Amino acid sequence: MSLLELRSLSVTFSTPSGFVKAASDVAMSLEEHETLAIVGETGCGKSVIANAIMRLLPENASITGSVIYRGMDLLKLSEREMARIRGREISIIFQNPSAAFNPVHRILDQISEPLLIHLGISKHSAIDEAEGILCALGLNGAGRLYPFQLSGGMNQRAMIACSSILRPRLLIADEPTKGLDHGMVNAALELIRSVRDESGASLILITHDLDVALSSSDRIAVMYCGEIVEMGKTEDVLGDPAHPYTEALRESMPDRGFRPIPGNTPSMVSPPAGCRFHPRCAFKMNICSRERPPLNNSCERSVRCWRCI
Amino acid sequence: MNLARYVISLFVILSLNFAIPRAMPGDTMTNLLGEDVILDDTLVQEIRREMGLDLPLREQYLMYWKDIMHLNLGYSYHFHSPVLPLVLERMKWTLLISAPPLIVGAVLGTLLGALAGWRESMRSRLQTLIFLIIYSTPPYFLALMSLYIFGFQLGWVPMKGFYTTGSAGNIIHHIILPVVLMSLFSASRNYMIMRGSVIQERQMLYVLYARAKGLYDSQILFRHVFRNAALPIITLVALDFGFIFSGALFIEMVFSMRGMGNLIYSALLYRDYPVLQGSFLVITLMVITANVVADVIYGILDPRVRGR
Repeated sequence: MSLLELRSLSVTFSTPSGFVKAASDVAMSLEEHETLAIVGETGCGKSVIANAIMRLLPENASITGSVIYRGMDLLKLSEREMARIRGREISIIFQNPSAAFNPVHRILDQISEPLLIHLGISKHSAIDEAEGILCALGLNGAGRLYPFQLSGGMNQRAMIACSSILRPRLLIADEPTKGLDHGMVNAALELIRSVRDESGASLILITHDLDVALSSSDRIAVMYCGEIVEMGKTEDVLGDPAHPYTEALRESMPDRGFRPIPGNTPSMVSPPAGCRFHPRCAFKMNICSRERPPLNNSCERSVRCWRCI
Repeated sequence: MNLARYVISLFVILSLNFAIPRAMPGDTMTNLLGEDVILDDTLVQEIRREMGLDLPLREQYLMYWKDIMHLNLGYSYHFHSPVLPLVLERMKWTLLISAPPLIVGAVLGTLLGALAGWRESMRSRLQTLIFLIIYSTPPYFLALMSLYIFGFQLGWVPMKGFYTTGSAGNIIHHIILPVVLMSLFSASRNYMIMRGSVIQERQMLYVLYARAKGLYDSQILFRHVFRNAALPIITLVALDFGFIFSGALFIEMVFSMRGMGNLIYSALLYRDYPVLQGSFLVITLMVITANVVADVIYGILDPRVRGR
């Protein structure tokens, strides 16, 4: 049995300008000790998936489908049951560590908080344990400081420590390298990988950087406009893209010539009919604007494109 | 650094307090004594000498400071009493009706406001409506209405004053209505600010992260949001405390209570400058003390302020 399985997960936000279909019919599964990268442009729905798994979406979001984690549907749990899973079984690392910490509490108190609320141990021993972890990360003494006194990189290391302190089985990293300068990217990834291996966790790595996905993931899911358009082994998908969008995404990377994808990101309120990528696609056929292609499975690779059927 | 700022402001305000009556048009002494005192010329000369008004300004100024240091605030010819005991006596009563509402209003408004800002429900919406109505009604109007209803029509509370017999029960019976009214006003203001503040803080990423750590609903509010959201309340309560005496003016007028507010009001009417000067001195001290205390509390609650 997979550790996590998403079955036709759809997320819709009701906003004053209409219903935003942030994720439609997403299906994917994650095995134990596996790392899955979710890539795509900003606004394609990758972070929505992460927040939907942890049920952290705002109140105007409606979720359908199911999120099966170790046999239970997380969407059917009560808020109190879900609170027991968050932070202990499933943890998330946000992209903006300095804002993710509470500005008026010491780092140490915030890192030890999961120990206090999930294990019910004494404050003193929780602080001791948190202090040990900070030392191991080379942040000796930083625990007595406040988030505004640390650099972004230090805050990020502290947040990774905080999110992994209870050795969760599933770690979600939501754009962990966004906004970091080049040297820091590798250090951050290295830390996330080592935390993953130490706790034997599975990892969902959400990123817009294909190099990050390539260096750190086993499998990859490419998302466009709320849909998965291609999914498979990372080397296969990025080495030989089957979907025109994956191909275009690869060509837009700096070392591949920086070629932008023509056209604009489509509206999420009224997405294009048929294949959602067809207005920007170089291989458009007649059927593409009429009918929505299914996610076609063949030999460990799923592709949502009429050319591949 | 901050302390120096407060000492300087105290110095400047007290100097202004010295200058204002002397800068008034007309005779300084009429200004200082008040206009309703009629004296003959020789007596005027004598008092002038006694008060040091025949001396050059520089020496008067030094004397003014010496008097303040000795807590000698002068004599009120209108109230026929030295100013200091007069002010202290009135302060006592005003504190009795103003301090409890300040505390009750801060606690009640902050707690209810935080809960209402955190979760929207039918009950919290109704609550907000009620507080909004209180908040936007002029205090004197609500005071008059409730005096009419509870005092005149229903006869539950006395119509005026602090006491008739002076026993504790009697005093409480007299002050209960004004205290409740002022508590409601203070609570409604704190409620509005706290509710808005919590609604704003709720959007912050640290709140989402607290939820992602596994904290349950109310735990997030009280462990994480409350302290951040309460910061504006400190300023508000400090302001309230600083203006506690002038703030009680309307209530004291409506309920005919002889407190600080009424004292300042009649001193203004009769141009009783020694009493006004003394009252300003007390208000100045209160405002500055409140600011110092607010600064200290801010420093304790918000580490970002402490660093500066």
